[in-house]
Amino acid sequence: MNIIGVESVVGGSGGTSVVAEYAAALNDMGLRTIALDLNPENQLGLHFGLSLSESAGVSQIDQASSNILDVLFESVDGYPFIPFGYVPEVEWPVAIETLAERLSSLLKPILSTPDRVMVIDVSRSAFPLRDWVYRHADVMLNVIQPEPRAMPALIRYSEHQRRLQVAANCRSLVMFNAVAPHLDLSRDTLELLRSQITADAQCPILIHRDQHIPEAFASQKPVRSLTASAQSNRDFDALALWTVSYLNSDGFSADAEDALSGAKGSFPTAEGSSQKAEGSFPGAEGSNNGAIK
Amino acid sequence: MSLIRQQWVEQRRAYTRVHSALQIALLYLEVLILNPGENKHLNRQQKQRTSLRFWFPHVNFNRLNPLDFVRIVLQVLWLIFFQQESDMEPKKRKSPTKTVLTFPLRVIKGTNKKVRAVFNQHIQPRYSGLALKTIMGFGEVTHYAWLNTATFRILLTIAASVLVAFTISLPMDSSSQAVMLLLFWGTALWVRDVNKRGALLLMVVLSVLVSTRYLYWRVTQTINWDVPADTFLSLLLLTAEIYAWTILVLGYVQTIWPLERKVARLPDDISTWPSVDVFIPTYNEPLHVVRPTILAALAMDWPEDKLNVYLLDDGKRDEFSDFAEKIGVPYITRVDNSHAKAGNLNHALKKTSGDYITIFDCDHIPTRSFLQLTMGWFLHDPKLALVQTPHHFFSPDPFEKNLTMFRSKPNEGELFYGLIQDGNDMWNASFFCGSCAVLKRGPLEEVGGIAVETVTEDAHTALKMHRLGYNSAYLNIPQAAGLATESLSAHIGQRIRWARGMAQIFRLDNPLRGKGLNLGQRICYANAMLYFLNGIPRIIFMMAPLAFLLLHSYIVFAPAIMIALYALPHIVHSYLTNSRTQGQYRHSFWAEMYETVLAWYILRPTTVALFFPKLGKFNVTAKGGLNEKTHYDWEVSKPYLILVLLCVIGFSFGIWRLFTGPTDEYLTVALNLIWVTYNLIILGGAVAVAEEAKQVRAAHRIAVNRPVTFITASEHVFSAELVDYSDQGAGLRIPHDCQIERGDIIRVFMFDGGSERSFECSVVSRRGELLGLRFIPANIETDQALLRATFSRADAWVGWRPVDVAERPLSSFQEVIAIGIRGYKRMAMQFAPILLPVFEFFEGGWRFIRSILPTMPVHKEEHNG
Repeated sequence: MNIIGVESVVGGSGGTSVVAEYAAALNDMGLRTIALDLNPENQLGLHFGLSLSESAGVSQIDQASSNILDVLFESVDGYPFIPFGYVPEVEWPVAIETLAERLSSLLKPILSTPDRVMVIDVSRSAFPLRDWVYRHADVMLNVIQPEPRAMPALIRYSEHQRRLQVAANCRSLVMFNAVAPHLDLSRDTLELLRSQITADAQCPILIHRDQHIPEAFASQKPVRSLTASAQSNRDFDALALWTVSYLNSDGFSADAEDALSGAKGSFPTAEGSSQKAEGSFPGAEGSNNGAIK
Repeated sequence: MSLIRQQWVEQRRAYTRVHSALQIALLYLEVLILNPGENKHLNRQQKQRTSLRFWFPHVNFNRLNPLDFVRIVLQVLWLIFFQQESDMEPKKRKSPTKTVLTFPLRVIKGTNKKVRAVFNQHIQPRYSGLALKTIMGFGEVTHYAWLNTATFRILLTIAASVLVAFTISLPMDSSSQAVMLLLFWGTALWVRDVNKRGALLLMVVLSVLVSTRYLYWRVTQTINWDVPADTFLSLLLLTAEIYAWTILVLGYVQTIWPLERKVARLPDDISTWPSVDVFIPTYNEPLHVVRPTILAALAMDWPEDKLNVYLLDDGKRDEFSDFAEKIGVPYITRVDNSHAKAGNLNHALKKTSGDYITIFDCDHIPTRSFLQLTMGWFLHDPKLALVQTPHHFFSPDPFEKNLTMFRSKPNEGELFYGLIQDGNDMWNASFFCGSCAVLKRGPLEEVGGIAVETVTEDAHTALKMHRLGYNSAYLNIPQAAGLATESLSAHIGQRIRWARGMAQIFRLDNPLRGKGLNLGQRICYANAMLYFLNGIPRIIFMMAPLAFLLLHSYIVFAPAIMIALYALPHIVHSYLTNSRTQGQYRHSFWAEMYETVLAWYILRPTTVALFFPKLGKFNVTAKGGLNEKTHYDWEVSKPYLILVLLCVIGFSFGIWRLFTGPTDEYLTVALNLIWVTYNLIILGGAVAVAEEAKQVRAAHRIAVNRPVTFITASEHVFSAELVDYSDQGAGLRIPHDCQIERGDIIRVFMFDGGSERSFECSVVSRRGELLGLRFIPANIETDQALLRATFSRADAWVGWRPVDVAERPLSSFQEVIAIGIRGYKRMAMQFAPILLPVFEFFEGGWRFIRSILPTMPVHKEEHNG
């Protein structure tokens, strides 16, 4: 099982939508992919048609049965997903803490399946869960929208999240979402951001800002189930295709044991690849703003 | 039973009783024989195979007529007996019913197949493998490196000379001549498909040998010295043949080993890149033609402080100076317009100071990569003075337009830019073509700027630089594209200028004489110039058979059988060899047609230029015009109509001689009839070209097939396919469920290098999935981005025409015949409408026969929606 984490660098960058569309695209390509929501806001399920009143989810598995398959849903179109489950906001810290401790054992039956992919919606604020993903993911896609908030966010990312991700031996990439070439500000910001990040630290696939995505969310379906001809489907198809080649490139293995062990230092090339990623940022060591040129 | 009734009712809604019965019978037959029902798991291709429509593509099952039964029977027989299953992988699954039905047929077919299998598996591979190994071994020239020593070369040359002299001059009787030539011919056919340089060299050697032998025989044995008039005609033909032989041999030398130069890498340090001046000369072209060129030149990828674009306007128009000022391009004019384009460039040369000069004709839009791809060689070779790239045209030239062969057949210029310049480059003799080239300032100033003595200033300038010992390079990657001449008369006008200019250089600065050139350069230049003198010889060849048919003059004084034995191999070898060397760039027989059209018109100017080289002035080629309706340019084809008339008279005389003449003349008459028929076909083609097809769009649309993205006013983003574009608008194939109508505004996203740009368009038409767009003008910066996303893409002109299909002289001949017939039909329409039914009868007959003949089943691509 390969694990791909998706995290919004700035709130509202569309991380959850990306997870839903991305998982659907991977499934359509023939790669069985499960979308997992580790964001206590519990929004991912809505993309797949989950009822608002449904409270089941990965945080809701009771101690006794503790079977992850009980909360593995499938959308009408056959896309599998695991919601976070409804937790009142005051209880979030506790729920996150407990879940982070149990997550490895909970996911064991799924993670041991080879040739599968899990795309995880990661919340910036749910630290222990986030750290769990950093430790287990092959790739972290850090979603940024080309907008004015992006530049300070990018600096923060390179000082903080990126260092954690690299330290946890996971490839850390910036991915641009909601790209709008027809808006000068968006285009210029994108150019600026891209010029600040080395090529091997950014995902080459750009996702367009497309009204189809919120509309699809409103009807609780992935875009591909609603409007086949939308550009965002092509974008996510391209992302899925890129993912396969990226995961198959050096230093990655679909072996479940490695993904589970957590201590990925055991696997020979991971060290090298992480160093390579580190080296891709000029002046990464010592200085604080690694991803910024 | 109820099922059948239901089907019956359904069929009866659409058809008559008989027809419905037929339809249902067919349906059941299909189920019975091809068994489509149970194969749900098959893919689409396999599914198609279970339908009758696949196996009988030429039969319309919805509307059967009695003849269709003939078609079906023929098709079944053909499919069973002739169609190889291996041609149509994967194998068809046979249903039991069919197995029973076709059992006897299969027995026959099986035996046939077994014999063939033995031959295919054991006998043929052994011999063809052996043959191929020999040729491959022979053809791999690197194997002969050990032979390459001075002594060996001298010895081999002497031995070869003796052998060649012997082969050429040995007199033979007809049968030994036939045996020898058949042997040569067989060898040529044998090695034709071997993709090795050695094989090509062998073909060239054979062709030169055979042709020289023919010429030797012609000179020594076939001149009729007895009758003065015959002697005169005879010598005239001989002169033309010597000319043709010279061009043939020089052409072989010129293109024997094209250099196929690659791009040279520029240094990584951009600060070492030299400065470049871009000259865009214009005289009377409208601004909308020149504008994209200037914008694209400014948008080329080169350090901004080292790229200076200059607009050189000999028209002195305010509109141009205003535009130049607006976009910050220096605008240069001069008081007089002496020496036209050359003078214009020389004037600008004095006012600028860049290290290199790039010249674009005002309609040649450069790609953004032009300088980065061409400049590298200058930094590798300090003696290099010129890098030329091909002239590429995105609009069809008159031949392409009038014969509807745009982007499917090589056009007239392709031979020159695809092969000849590359061949010249091998001899360091590729020359300047006036546009799409980079010149080094030093050498250019050394030869006194662009040459002004002739009307082809470009080639002459290159010749002068070569004389001073400078090198030239040719890079065969289209890096700029422009408009082709729009009408046949304009095209002919342009070629007249080239022909006259080349003849002028031949007289004023003959490359065969003078200092500084090596042998290869002399040959290449001489061939380039002599080529344009082909007017007179070609007319002579057209008229030659008439000498016998009309005047009964024996201009080749030899028995017909000997003429056939000598001339035929000479012709066949030169066609085979030319097809091998240049087939990719010019199809056999098409060249004859191209040259015949020009022959009459370049005849006079070249002859005049040869005797009075200083006469005549520069004329500007008209481009970018409209042609509102199809019309026929009778003015242009007048000389060919006269030739056609003469040939037809000659042909009639030939027939008359066949019936009334002495029996010992039969063969001679037949030979001349074949010759005149061939001439008639080529002339028919020349006449067909003069029918000017209509051209209604002011801006040429370039057909492409490229994914793009567009966004609607409601911010919905869709993926689409860019079908075509021009500088004014574009065509998109959009998803059918996309709610867009005429009058809507959308934005199309296209890539300008790495970044995606948005271009606002108004929808001017919607037909099904096809959307017609007009770009809404924005600012200069967006216009430049649009150019870089379309015309100026580095790969905009790569893969312009499919070139993977090998040229076959015989099928090219068929095409030329078809064009010839078209020409005659057009003539009949004009002069003798009474003949039209005859043409229609033959055409209809041919169509009818084609429709009856078996057709290859093909998989059709299904379009969804």
